[in-house]
Amino acid sequence: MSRFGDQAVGYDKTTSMFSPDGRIIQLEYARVAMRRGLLTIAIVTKEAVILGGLIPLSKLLLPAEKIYQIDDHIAAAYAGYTADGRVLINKARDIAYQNRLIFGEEIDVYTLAEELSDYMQQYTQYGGVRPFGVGIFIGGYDIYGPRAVFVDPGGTIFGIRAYCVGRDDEKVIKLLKERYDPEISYDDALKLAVEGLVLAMKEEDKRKEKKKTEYESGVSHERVLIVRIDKEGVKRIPEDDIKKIIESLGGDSE
Amino acid sequence: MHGPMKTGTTTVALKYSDGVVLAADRRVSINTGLVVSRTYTKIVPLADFVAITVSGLVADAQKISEFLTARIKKFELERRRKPLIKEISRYLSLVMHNHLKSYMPLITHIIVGGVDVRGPHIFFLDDAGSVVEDDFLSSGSGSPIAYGYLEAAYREGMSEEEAIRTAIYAINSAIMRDVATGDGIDVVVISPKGLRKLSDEEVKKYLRR
Amino acid sequence: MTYGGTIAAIAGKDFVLVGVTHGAALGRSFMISRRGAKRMFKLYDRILVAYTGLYGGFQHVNSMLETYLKADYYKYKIVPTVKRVSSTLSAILYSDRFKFPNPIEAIVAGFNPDRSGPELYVVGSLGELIPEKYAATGDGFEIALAVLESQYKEDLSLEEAKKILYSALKTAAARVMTNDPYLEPEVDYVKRPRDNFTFSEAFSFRLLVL
Repeated sequence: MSRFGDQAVGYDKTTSMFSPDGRIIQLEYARVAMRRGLLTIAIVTKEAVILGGLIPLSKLLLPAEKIYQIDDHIAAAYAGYTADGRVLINKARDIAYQNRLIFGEEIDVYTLAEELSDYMQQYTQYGGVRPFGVGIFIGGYDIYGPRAVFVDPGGTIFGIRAYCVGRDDEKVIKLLKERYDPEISYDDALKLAVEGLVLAMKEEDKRKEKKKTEYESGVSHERVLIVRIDKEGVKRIPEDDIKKIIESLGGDSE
Repeated sequence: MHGPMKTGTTTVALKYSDGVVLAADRRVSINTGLVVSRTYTKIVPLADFVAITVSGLVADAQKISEFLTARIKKFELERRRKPLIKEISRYLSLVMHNHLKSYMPLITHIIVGGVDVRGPHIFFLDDAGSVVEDDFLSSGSGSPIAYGYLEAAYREGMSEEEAIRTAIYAINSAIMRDVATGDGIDVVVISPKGLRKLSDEEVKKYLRR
Repeated sequence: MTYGGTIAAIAGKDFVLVGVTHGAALGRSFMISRRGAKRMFKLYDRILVAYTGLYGGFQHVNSMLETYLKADYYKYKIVPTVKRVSSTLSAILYSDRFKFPNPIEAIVAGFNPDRSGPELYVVGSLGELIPEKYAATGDGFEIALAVLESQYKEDLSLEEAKKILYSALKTAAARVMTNDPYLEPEVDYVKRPRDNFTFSEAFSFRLLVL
């Protein structure tokens, strides 16, 4: 049955109904919403997880937060509809603190993802609600070492090595595919993450769509937020370091 | 029956160089002073890396052991790893604390001992929900006697054999002087290689020396 | 169930000093069943919290307190004042007022994120919150308080205050059997911090621009 056909009979109106070819069309729309968000990227290396993302920059508005600390050893970032993301971030924090109260220990990254995904899945099976329009990256350093996962709007969990979601992610994923290998050093991975984010900014610039809004366009280190999560906890990569990497890439950083 | 069955008991737990030793007597008695069991095992393996010793009400101790064994299995399935000894202890302590606060305390003292990725650990839990980690611990009516021996005999970094002997001597001292303790000794050794229960012959050999 | 321990504290001009005696006695007996169990905790390097009473009670209460403060810290970017820590503790304790009040008491003392203070609060088992300049609670509090009462004066130096606190706690430990006379009292202090509290870089995105 054609996509048009599905819509015509209303299978896209709710998550509580499959389309005849076995899809939940609302969820696919949610994934579209997710990929409208600015690029978010995560890379796992032997010593640390790198979590990064782009933020919109404007003369009139204060910079947004993109990466959130969940607990001492975990940070999360999302791509997609910001208001939905914030709810999930706070939910993730509650889950993490609950684990501390019950077991007296920090929560595992994967367990946090599973419990968060349980919550997100609820929004795909009941009527009258809409799924979350975000995909969320959770990176942390737990008993296994550095680990990162990605949870999509439907609540599917992906354990990841290097992954990105957001506007222009096909191009960046191609870049990651070419350049990532499991033995990658931390410095190379950081460079790769910055390169991915720069690539996304360039693509965006090509389309000139930002010019119409209050947001600045062009490649700028101020739009890049990256944190490193290792044994010591979560640490933001200083702006100057990112600037240096962008310059070394030959990008036109202001 | 004259009141609930209680294990008057002496149990000890101590850490050695790379594992833990748990030891306990086998006597179960009731309030009238009658010994109702002379073969009861007070060391319960919960998995192949952790065991608990129990003292107090037999009913509470049994239910806790069953429940905790299942909970550990669930933890392993959910999280694809073994729980830390600290996680087991903190979880059980919360259960016991919540029981106390609903005016239905689990009248039992428990020592959790085992080996995890962070090494050997022993924790003492009481009915109010406290958790204390230490190098050597004792519980039960004969614990003052066992502590008396352990304070003098324990030192850090003992070999497995020394640790087993120290634990057995501590229980034996309590058997001699505490009427609610007696009828043989159980010993369980947990090392990174796994959990091992000593046979009666082995225990006797240590006592003879 | 284990009880015991005396705590005493003095708020000076540029410091707060908190001390605890060790000893957790089994039930109402006099056997020391937990030697040197931890009963004093430091928060953000500028606030000290010390507990006395039911050991299994305050361990869980402290775990809740630390978790709630962590939630405030990461969720709402709140660095607590001394008042906020003690109010949170008070709220936790009062929440059990009509259920099973935890038989514990605490002293919360330290400096605020903006360097003001020192402040010192005694928190009772039902959540009572009482500001003090010097205080003692726990098993031997009458004895410790008698020493503090007779020797405390304004503008004590840290060294003088330490001496008073040690003598208060040692006297209590010598005369109250549930205290452990063989372990030195544990005394800790925080001085007025040199700087205002700042968030670590990782989650200061918003604060950097404000």
